[in-house]
Amino acid sequence: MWYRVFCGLVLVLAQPLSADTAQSVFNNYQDALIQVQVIENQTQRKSAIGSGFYVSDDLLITNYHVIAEKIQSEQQYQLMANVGADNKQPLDIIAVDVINDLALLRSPVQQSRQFSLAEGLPAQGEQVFSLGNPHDLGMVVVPGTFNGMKQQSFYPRLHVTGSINPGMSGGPSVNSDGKVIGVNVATAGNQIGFVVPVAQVNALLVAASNTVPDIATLKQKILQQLLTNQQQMLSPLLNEDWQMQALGKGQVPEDIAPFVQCWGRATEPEQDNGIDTATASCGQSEQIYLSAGLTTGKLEMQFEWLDGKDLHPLKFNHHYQSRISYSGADNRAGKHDVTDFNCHSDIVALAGVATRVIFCVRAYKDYPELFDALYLAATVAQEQQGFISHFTLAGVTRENAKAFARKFMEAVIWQS
Amino acid sequence: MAILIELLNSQGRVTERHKFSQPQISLGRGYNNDIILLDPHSCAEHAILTLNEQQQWQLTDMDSVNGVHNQRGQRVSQQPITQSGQEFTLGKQRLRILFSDHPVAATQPLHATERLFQLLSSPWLLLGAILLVALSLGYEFWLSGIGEDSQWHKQLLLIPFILLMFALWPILLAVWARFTGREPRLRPQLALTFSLLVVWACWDIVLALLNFNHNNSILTQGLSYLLPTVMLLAFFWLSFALMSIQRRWLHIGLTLLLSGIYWLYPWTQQTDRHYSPQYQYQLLPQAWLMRQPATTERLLEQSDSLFVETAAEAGQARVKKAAKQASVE
Repeated sequence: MWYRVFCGLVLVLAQPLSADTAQSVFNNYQDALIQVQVIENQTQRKSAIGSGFYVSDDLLITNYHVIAEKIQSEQQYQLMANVGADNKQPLDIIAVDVINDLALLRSPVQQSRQFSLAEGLPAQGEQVFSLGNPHDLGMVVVPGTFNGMKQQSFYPRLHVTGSINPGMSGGPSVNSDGKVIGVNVATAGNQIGFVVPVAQVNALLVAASNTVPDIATLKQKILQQLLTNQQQMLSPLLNEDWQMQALGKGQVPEDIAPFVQCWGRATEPEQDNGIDTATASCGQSEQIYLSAGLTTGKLEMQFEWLDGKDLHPLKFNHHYQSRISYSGADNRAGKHDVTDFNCHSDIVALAGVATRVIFCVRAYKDYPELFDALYLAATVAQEQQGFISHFTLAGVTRENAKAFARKFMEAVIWQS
Repeated sequence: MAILIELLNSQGRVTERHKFSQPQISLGRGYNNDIILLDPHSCAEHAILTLNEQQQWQLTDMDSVNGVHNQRGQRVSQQPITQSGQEFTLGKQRLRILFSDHPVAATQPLHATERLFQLLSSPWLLLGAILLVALSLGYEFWLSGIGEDSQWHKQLLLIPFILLMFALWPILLAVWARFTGREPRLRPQLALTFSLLVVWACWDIVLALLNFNHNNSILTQGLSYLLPTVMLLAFFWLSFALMSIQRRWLHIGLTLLLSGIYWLYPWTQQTDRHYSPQYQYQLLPQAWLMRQPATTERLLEQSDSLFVETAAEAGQARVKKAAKQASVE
């Protein structure tokens, strides 16, 4: 009973305060918020929607992934700002930042109301508000809590506990002063939302020119961004020594970078499965979105230790071999985006141990110099024991793919 | 001069051959005839073949119900036999009349493979081949069975049925031969089939060794295409040779058609190699390694061509796309 009264009090005290701010935020900035629509030319229907917001009298910020289709197939789509009932205005793309999933657009309609960018990030636990148009339901404001930078992420993201939903992508998250702290970009479900920090928005605004570039120029810029990004992501990995850990008789890297998370699993030894295995897999939770069919900028590794000492060598070998008979890319890419994989397979001595090494490469059709690399290695079985190592790199240059493969082959070895 | 009468089946193959030296030969269903026909469409006394004063044979219809027809399908009542090899139809019974000086085809030399077949179709060798095939099947089941839930013991019971499936081809050919009045030769066909399976199993072992040790050599790659093709071509060629198919084009055509399936089928299958690569993954235990492993530097050097080739393919795709876009505009 007392508890109920107390709870009621908290609610009574808390709600008007929050509602007040939310209301004022919404009222002040409603006009500066728009819905970005990608319209398919043939059907004249929406193909993608997102949110956008004015940062100057004619410039808008949204997510790259909202407008990606326009860049991929320029002739097929047009970009529209949905401002109020039946009032659509065409939008131009000024600049994009695929690494941080941002796009800068220009609207022919001048808007006196604009969002201003925050100087810094709020303190952890501070209340923030995310704005946007979730599921095409109309503009909403969602209160949430700022929870600092997302840990273990190569691509900087703010963690906001609040309901960011599809369609709110590209909308702003603001602090209690109504200043933009970042751009809504993704959700992990259960009230966990991710926001691109305002610093990245600033950088995009600074770097952007005032003219409308053609799509080919934008694609060239995207290529440059991807090239720079893979260099930034891989050079620390290539230059630093890797911390190694044992997996059976194999040596596997442990936390080679804060943004690469590793998981492990092993079979229960009392179960008579014939082969005892222990596996470790490492990967990134983020990747770069280029189009609906193509994602990149990702590193993934897998390791498996197999021990089948009770099996006949040929029997062990049969099952061991089947574990490397199939492998696939980790990032999403369609036939129009990449070439077929081309592979080289050989028996190679890794730290003196004969190992079947398979190295496969596919090239990006729209982005010259970029490749996806796939590596798979299995030691030649000794006394019914085997060690499989594997990595995939998405969107890297030939030099980096080879350098990473070299380092991987030197580090990930069988300790005899 | 003696005269010969060959009874033919509907395909024109000889089923009976009679030789006479008397001047008159009667043909019909009746038991008093010199040649007793079984065809229910022939009459009891259907026709008579007589030698006249001019020493010429003559075929005379005995007012039969269904008549005597010559090669062109015309009904004849009396027909002089002017040359050897003339054919007639009595009711539905085909027959050919030959003089004893009729030329015969040249003697066919005994083929070397015939002797091989004789050897292979000896019961013990055939049994041995079948046993080897059964063993290799059992080995496959044993290999894949692992863990406590393994069913490989039970799967051994399937072996007789799989063997029977392999035997379907020789059985089919034997039935076909019987149907067309040829010699069935089931045992040589079985010997051929199971010998092929044994050779194929041996090739699999050799191929595993080659792929494990020298998968990048041209010899291995060439052999892995050539040998299965040669084996299949030889198998079907010999199969049809055993059937004694006379027409050369049919023999070649059937051989190529059936061997072609081996390559045609994989070729028609859709591959998604842009997603999952295809590569050589052969592994064998350490003891089977018969070469020095390559160095990592060599592998990386060789991987350069992968980048060059895929980049060239991507470049071509870009050019194609640009051309398409230009044509749209």
